[in-house]
Amino acid sequence: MNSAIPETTSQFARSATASIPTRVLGCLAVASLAAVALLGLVVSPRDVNQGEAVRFMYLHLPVIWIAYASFVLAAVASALLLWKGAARPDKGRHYDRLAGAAAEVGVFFTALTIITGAMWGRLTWGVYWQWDARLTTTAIMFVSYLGYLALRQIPAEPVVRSKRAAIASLLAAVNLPLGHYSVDWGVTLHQEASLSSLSDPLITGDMLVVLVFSVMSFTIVAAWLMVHRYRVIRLEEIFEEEGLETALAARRAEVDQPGESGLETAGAL
Amino acid sequence: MDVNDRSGLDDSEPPPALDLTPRHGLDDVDAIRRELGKGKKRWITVAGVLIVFAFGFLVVQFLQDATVFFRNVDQAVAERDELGDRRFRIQGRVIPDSVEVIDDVVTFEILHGCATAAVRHLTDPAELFDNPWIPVVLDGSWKPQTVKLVGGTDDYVFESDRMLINHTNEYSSNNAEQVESNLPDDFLVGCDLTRNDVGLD
Amino acid sequence: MESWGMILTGYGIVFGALLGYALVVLRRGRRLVDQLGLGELVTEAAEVGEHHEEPPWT
Repeated sequence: MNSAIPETTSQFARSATASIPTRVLGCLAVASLAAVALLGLVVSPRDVNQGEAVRFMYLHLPVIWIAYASFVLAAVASALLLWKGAARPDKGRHYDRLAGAAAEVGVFFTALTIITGAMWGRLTWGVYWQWDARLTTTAIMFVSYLGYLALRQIPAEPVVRSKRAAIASLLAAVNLPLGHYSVDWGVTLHQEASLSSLSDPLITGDMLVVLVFSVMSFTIVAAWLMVHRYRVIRLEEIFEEEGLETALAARRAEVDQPGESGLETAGAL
Repeated sequence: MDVNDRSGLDDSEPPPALDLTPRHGLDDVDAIRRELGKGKKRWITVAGVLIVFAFGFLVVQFLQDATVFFRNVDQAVAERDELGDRRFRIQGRVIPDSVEVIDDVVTFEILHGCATAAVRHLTDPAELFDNPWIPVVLDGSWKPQTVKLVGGTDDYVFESDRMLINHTNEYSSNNAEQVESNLPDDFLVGCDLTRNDVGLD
Repeated sequence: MESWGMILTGYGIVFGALLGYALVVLRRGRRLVDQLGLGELVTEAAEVGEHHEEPPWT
């Protein structure tokens, strides 16, 4: 923080979307990510078959876990919005923000999944990409949620926009089980799940510890990102509402004093 | 058409005045919202079109290729007549003792579902190919040629020009014991082949 | 060696992307706060009689 900021500056001015809990979470996220790098690159042993390439597992599995969890959260929030939003508009706005924040974080982590998966694939399979069921459904997931995010940006009345987005989120979520279970249903190059059950993992001790730690660390990072993104969406809403109010005021002024464009004034906000 | 031809107009009527009414009602919030988001709308439309095309392309890929990525050796042998000389992908585990390299051509046998197939691979093998019993996916086609296999002879060899490693979902830091167990215990259960045939005992 | 090059690049991309995304989110929040006038000095805002509201997370 900048110590030059005068005492009279509000707490909010200095912290923007941060608060004490998010600062704690942020510190924890940075520390645990540093530990992931150390454990994944130095402490973890080589895999007997894959050699050093196994180190990609500590990135790839956690990021896809976050992506799936984020999209499930977005779907749940969207369903709640459609279910309870009409009766409680304030709750509806909350669920809409939650879905938006979760979906954006999910898209970001899906991109990381595709990148880390491609690099890991190059080292193990021998290729960056194949049109295998798991890879293709992951790409479909990425594109459909990009569409969801684009849909959220289309200017419209907030209730209409949030309902439209919620329906799109639920439609995109149909692909989630298809993608996750594609390795069991289809004949795929991608291997089946290694951690479908913690009681009978297919990963030996030391590697399992690093993997579980890495999953927890990335979860903390994602939670931090999601809280901040949620708050940014809230600020964007305030900004949009203020812009609208200014535009309305300008319109009224335009009627009172014909010849001046109120919308130009609003655009300069 | 002559735009200056005013013959059809009744000169007694005054010309229509310019529309100076506001573009929307004073409190038409939606219209103002749309007006404010005009610039945004253009890039969203472009992004939307790209996303729809990408989505369509991916769905087509999924329906064409994705659900059955390869045939296991037993399936590929059973469907040999049907497959003819068509290209397809075959999957099986490499029998370690069968690997030979002559003039940049790697020959070996793969095993899956109690069936074996001879392979002639024409390009560089994948990095993890040296691992014992590694499962591989090969791109190529059947070629007629009499070859000797661990379980007898065959009249076809699979000629491949692309090799992918189909690694499993098991990870271990253990050493030689783990390598030995790369072949699942039940892999030869119900087969005419014995562990001795494939060089395990 | 090829493996290590790829692995370090992969870790670099992931950690770099996380840092980049976090900074983008924080900066966007800060910019909105500034644009909304929420970052103005309390005294200054009071002098000009501006409405000075703080969101619930502060």
